[in-house]
Amino acid sequence: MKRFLLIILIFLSITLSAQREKPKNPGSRIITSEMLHKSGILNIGDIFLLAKNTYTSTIEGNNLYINQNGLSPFQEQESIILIDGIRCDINIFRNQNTHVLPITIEQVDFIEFINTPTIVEGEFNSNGIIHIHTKKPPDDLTIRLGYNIGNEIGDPGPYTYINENAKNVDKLPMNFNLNLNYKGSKGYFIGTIKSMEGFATDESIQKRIDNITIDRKKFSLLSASFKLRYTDIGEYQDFFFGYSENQNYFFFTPYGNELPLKHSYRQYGLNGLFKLDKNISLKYLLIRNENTTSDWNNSYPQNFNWEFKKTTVRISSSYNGVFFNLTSGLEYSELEGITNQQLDKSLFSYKKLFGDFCFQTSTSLNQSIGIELKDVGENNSINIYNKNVWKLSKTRTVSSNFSFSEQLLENSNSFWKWNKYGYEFFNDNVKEYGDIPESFGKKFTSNLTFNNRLTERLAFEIAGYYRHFFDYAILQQQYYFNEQTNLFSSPTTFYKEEYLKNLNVTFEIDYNTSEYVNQTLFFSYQNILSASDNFKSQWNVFPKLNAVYEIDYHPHPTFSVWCQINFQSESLWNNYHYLPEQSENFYKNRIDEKILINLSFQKWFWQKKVWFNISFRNLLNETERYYPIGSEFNLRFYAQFKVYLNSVLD
Amino acid sequence: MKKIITILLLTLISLKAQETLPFSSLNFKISLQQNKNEVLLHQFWEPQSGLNFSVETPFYLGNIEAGISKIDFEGKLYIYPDFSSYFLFAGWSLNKQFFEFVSLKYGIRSGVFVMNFNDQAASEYESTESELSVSLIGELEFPVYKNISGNLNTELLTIFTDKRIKLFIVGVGLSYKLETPKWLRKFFE
Repeated sequence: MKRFLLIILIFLSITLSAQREKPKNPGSRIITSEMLHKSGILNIGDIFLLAKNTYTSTIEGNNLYINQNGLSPFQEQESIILIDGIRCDINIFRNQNTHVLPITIEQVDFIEFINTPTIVEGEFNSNGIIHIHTKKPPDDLTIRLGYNIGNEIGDPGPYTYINENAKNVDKLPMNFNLNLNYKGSKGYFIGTIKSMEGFATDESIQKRIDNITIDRKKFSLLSASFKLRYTDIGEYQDFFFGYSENQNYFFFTPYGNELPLKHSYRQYGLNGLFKLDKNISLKYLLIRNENTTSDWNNSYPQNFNWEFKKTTVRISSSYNGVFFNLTSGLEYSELEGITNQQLDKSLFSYKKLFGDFCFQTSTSLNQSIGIELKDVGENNSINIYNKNVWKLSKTRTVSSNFSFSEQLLENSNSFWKWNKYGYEFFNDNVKEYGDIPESFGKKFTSNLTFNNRLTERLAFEIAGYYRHFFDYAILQQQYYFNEQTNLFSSPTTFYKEEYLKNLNVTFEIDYNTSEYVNQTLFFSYQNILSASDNFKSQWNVFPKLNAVYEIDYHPHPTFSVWCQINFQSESLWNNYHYLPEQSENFYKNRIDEKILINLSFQKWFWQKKVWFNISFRNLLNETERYYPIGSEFNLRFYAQFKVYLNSVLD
Repeated sequence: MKKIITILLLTLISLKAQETLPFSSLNFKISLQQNKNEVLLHQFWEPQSGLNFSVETPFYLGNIEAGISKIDFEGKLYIYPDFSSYFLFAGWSLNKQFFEFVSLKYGIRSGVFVMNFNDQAASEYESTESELSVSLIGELEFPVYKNISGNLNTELLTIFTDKRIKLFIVGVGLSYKLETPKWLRKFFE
């Protein structure tokens, strides 16, 4: 921490910060396209570098464990990801790889991290929502092209001929993206292709996958999508299609090891908006999400073939009046799981009713209440929230948010749900002790935020949250390492009626030192007030302290230097408690505190048609690890090149 | 790397405003280079004479450049395959004028150091290696004839392999300066 403060002092002394737009929803955060460019964000999976108060963990850099604003433990993942209001169900057994999203980083206009439980576009999620808003294409033909390469330090170089044990560690993913858009008088067309290719060369992962793979550990992703918008009927009518095929080493949590898996994701559907009069609008959505998993590059048969098909129909209406707004809707969806084993139940249907009522209590106070009622077969769930925004003055705002929610097993796509209905994993390593719970638990959340813009150039925010998880099911895994096979066995024990009370305080200051320099300092501290032992051990994986300092120096509209210094305190991973001993200290059971410095240079050419970026990650080459058995990331260097050709035919 | 960051910070603190218009000229440079130091690498490989080519232009602050340098290394025993190295870099430097005609240039380059091994047994994947590299440069420039200048240059190159490779390189070269064509300046801006 002292080193972090020292580095900040050095940077402050040369008065060089990143400009941040204030979020529209209380508790949420916005990342703009400009910020993505300045910081040299490489792809969709990389956006979390800028997401404050969001804890992420990854084993190999692709699959992510996310905890938005302290809303959920890492144990199973269910963040909702929306692209222009359309939900993308990319999860396989509640594991998510955001790279699979059929969208390119060049398409992004801004990303909203909705960090409090609320309803957005008919979707309620108690774990948070990530809403990606894409750019509307300009008139005529638009071509956008992006390419990047990267390199990680620590290769043997010529010394590989002197020391045979020296291993190659580089080969970071290469990304290629292409967007073709056309806008006419009656709508537009957006088409995208993206590809990503890389190598799993980190020693900690190689050791495990050496046993199960037959190639040289190359992974790849290919994705294509299109959207057709027609504006001659109603406000708009969209037809969209997206397809991604990802060949990767998928860390399957219940198994505790990687599986070479081919994951195909397909999404297609229709949605549209009609304005019935000045104040009333009607929206509809018909969507199908399909996730398929199959064997890939195996040296032994694994037989983990699945096909998940989810169909959703939703109708919602909005009334925007002078004193109140009302949004309400109903939804019907079906989830079918198809595998080559006979299941007791393979088709699940859900009915949902939701509403959000927003009213102006006084000229300075806005309040809203929302409710979602879900019929999930034998069980029903109810989720409710309340939001308040009180404008104290032109420059000062207080906002608060309260919610209650419950997560049911039946409503999820958890592996344990399918296991309950008769699915047996092919390997004996997946064992469970105790009854599979019907409910993952209940949670009460509250947030309080105070914003104050002191001057044109100086603003600060103080925020805090309180979380109370109760009647919670904790899926506790204890990993045991086998030195002969380099694999883990990891039986899962279900603990019920677990609880945790957690408090967090954040402080953020935005200071535009001059016309050319913006600075942001963010500080977050979270602590467990009380908890059951099992829940506590799961929550200890989150660092107590996180501090981020960003500076943005832009002496010219086409050139900028951006730097981020990120401090995270240590975290303890009790699931891997015995690992150092069992692996002769090759693996650890904790992640040490770290200071990461990221640096990015951007330059635009040709009236902002061509963009070039050079960025460095982990400049001090600190030990950068996000998971005890995951990759260690050294100093990396990326070069990116993008072309934006707007209105080509004009 | 920490030393390089410290030097860079100190340099940034001592910055003065750029007097030359950004992208107003292009300076094409070519130089003959020789690696002069002895590290572990040189026990197994012998460096040959190299060549460096770069293009430099004034920036908002200092100058920026892009270029490539090539040095071949010959294996001293048959088990150490010959390899060609290519350093593809982008750089930034500052000028300090001495007397009326001599200028000292100092700065930093960063890029990828690519090594192509002449190893028949290795696969395509294994025979090429690339690594992040950073160098500190110093250059003494003096006029020769009209737009042509001569230069003596040194470079301390660090290649971030597992065991760091540090190469001290000296060189002599010529440069030719011309005004940036309008269309190209428009592109840069």
